[in-house]
Amino acid sequence: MLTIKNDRVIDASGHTLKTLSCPRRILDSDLENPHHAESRCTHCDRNVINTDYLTEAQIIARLKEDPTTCLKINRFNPIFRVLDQEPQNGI
Amino acid sequence: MEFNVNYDRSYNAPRIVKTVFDLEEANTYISEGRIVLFKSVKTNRKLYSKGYLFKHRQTGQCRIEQARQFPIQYAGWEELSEDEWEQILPVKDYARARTLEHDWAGYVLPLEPRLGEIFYIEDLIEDIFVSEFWGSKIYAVDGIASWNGSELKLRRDLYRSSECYIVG
Repeated sequence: MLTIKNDRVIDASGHTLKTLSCPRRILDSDLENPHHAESRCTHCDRNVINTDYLTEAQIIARLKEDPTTCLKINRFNPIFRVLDQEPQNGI
Repeated sequence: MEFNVNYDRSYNAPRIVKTVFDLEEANTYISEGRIVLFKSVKTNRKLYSKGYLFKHRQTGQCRIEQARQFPIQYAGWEELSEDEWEQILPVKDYARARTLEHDWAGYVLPLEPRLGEIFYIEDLIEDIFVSEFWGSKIYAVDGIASWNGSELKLRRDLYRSSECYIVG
């Protein structure tokens, strides 16, 4: 299982694989093909990898190859455990 | 799959709106001076998953799938051939557990609600579809609403499918 804590993606042995550092709050409408395995972000032209389609090992391999890879992570994906996510919608 | 609203309740903690499904309980709150807002419980067609019941022609074992050909996470597509599997009947499944005993419920407001006050609803009467994960429907179970003097106005923006995603 991968843990997301304080915007870091951490593997089972505690190594940080990536820091989630996108300054924007990206919505599906910002992605060219939001439900595809990969989609271009219309803000920065980078590819965003949809982790719904990847196994844990594939995600780790991808991030070890390039820790700046942009990810789309579903909170309901059992591969991930999301901790301490700061709410962003308070009034 | 249950979706809990992503809202910081530690800051200016909103008072809680309770939900009742029992008339006697509702009347007890009313006699205490509480406002009870009755609403119909309505199913949401987006929370239905449609499929078919298939029966194996040799073993008799049954399974439910969305179609003869269906995607499997990480494994492409699987097909139930007509030679092996008989299609018995169309079926559907509702994501949120609901009782058939009554089709109404009531929101119980805290005493003396202020105009514009923000409340936390711990058990939504409304069935709200949020997103999906590999065919599993994700529905809201709680919410944030403001009081306009006669109705609770739900913050629907908190149920956008993007609330289920982190991109970065």
